Amino acid sequence: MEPPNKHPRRNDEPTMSPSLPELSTLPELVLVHILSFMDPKEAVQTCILSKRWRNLWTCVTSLNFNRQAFKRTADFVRFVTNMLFFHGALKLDTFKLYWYTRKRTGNNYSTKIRQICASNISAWIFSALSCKPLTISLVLYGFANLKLPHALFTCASLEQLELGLYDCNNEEVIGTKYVNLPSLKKLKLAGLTVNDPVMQMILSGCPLLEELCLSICSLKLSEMKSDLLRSLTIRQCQGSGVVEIFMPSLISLHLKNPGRLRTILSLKNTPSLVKVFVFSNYFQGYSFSAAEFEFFTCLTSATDLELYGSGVMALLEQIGLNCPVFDNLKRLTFGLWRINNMLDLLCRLLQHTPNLEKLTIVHTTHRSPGIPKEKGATGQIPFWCEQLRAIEIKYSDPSGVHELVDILLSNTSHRERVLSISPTSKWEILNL
Amino acid sequence: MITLISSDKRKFHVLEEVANQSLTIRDVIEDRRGRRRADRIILVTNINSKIPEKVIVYWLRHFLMPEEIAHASMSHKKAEKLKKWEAKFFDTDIDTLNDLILAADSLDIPSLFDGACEKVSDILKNRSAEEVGEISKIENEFTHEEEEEEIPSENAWVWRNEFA
Repeated sequence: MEPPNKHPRRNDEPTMSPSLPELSTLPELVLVHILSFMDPKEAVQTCILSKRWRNLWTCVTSLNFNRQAFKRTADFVRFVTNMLFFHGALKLDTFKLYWYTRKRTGNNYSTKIRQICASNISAWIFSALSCKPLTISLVLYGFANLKLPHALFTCASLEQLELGLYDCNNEEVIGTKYVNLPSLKKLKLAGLTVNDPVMQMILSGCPLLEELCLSICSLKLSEMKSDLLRSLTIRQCQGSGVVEIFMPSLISLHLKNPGRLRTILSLKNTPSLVKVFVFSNYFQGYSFSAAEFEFFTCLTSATDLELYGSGVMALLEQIGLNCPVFDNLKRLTFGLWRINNMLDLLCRLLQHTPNLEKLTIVHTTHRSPGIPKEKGATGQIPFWCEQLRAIEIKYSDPSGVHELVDILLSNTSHRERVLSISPTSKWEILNL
Repeated sequence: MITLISSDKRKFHVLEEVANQSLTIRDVIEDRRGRRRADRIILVTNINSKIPEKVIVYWLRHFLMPEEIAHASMSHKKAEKLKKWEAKFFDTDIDTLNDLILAADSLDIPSLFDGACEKVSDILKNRSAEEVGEISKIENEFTHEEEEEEIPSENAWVWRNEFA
C-alpha cells in the first residue's frame, strides 16, 4: 500500500455501493490474523483504509522484520523501533528478525553503525520478550559485539527458538548464561560455537525439547545426552573427534557432513531411531575411523534410510562383506551417479536388507571431486528381497537409466513389481 | 455418518472421521455420543449456503493425510501436490474467502482458517489504498483533512522510508 497523498483524491460525494462491505463483516480478531500474514510495513499502512482499520495493526501477533525490505539501515532501525513501541498486543506469536547483509570490509563507518545497531537489536529483543512470544527467530550477520538479553534464555512462553548468528562474536553468546526455557520444543542454532558445557546447559535447561538442529556450527563436543529429544539434525557442522549420543527417545537423525572436518557420531543409546538421513563427501586420502564403521552398524534399527554422497559410498565399499543386516529396514533411498560401480554397492547392501518394501534410487549426473575410481563393471550381484513391492527411480539425465533398470530387473526374481520412473529436476537433487 | 444441514435446507452426509476435522463438530458429536440417530444431524445455518460444499471438499482432500501433515514427515512430492491443490482451492473471489474464513472460524478448522487468511492478505498486498478499498469494499469514512494530514503524520515513520 502506498501513502494516500500519492494518489488523486477520489470524489467527495459518497459513492453508491449497494453491496455489503465485505471484509468489514469479519470480526476484528480475524482481520488482525490477516494482517499477521503481511509484511509489517504493509500491515501498518492499512491504517489509511478506514476508521476501523486505523489502529488494527497495533494488535498484530506476528512481527517479521526483514532488513531487505528497506533501502537504508536508518529507515529499518526507525521502523522496527517505532513498530515495537506502538505495538499493543499482549501476546505475540512470532518475532522474527532477519538482518543478513554482508559487511563491507575496511569500512570503519559501517563497523561503527553496526555497533550502534547491535545495541538496538538487544533492546528490540527485550521489548519483544515482554509480549510472551511463542516463536523467536533471529538471523543476524556480522554484529561483532552483540549481546543477547539474558531474558531470552529464561523466557517461559517460548516454544521455538532459532538463533542464527553468523560472523558475530559468538563464543560468548550463550557462553556463561543460565538457560531455563521450560516450554521450548524446537531449537535451531546456526553459526555458533557449541562446546560441552553449553550443550549440557541447553539440554538440561530445556526439559521439553524435541527437535534440535545444529547448522553451520563449530562443534567442540564429546557427548550429547537427552531423554526426550526426538529429532536431531546436524548440518554442515565442523567438528573434531567423536560425539557420543545418548538419546533413548531419538526417532529421526539427519546428518549432512560435506566437510573434511566432519562430525562423527557414536550412537551409544538410541533404541528408537527409525528415520535416518546421511550425506557425506569423500576426500582423497581420507581414512575412515573405527567410529564411522561403528556408526553404520548402529543404524540397523532404522526403518527408513536415506544414503547420499561419495563419503557414504566409499564407506560402504570399505565395509564390503562385513555389512550388518538391516532387519527392520522398510524404505531405502539411495543416491547414485556412476551406475556400474555403485550398483555393486547397492546390490551388496540389498543382500543385507531382507524386509525391504520400497527402494528409491536417485540417479544424478552430479560429480564431485575425489569419488572412488570406477572399477570394471559387473553389476551381477543378485539380491533377494521378498517384501520388495516398489522400485522408484528418479533421474535428471535419462542416459544410463535403461541400463540401470535392466540390471535391477535381471537381478531380482520378482519382475511383476511396481516400477515407477520419474524425471526429477536437477534443482531438487542438488538440494538434498 | 452424520448429516449437516445448511441454511437453505440442503443436506450433506459426511463420514464422522471426515467431519472430525472441525473441532466444533467433533465436540458436538462427542457430547451427543450414545444418543438417538436423530442427534447425528447438525445444523450449520450460520454459514452461507455454498460454503459447506467447499468445506467438505477441503476436508476430503485433507482427510487422506492428516497425520502426515501433523508430523511433517510427508514426502516432498506429496507436500508439493497438496500445496498446489490448496493454491487452486483458495483461488476465488474475496467474498467466498470471507465466507470461508467465517465458516472456518465458527467450525474451528485451524488450517482452513490460516489458509484463507493468508490468501486474503496476499490479495491486499502491494496495492494502493483505493484499490484495496474497491476490492474489499471497505468504506473510507475519513474526512479530507484526516486522510491528507492527520493519519500520515501520526504514523510518519511508516511513510518516510518510501521516499528514502
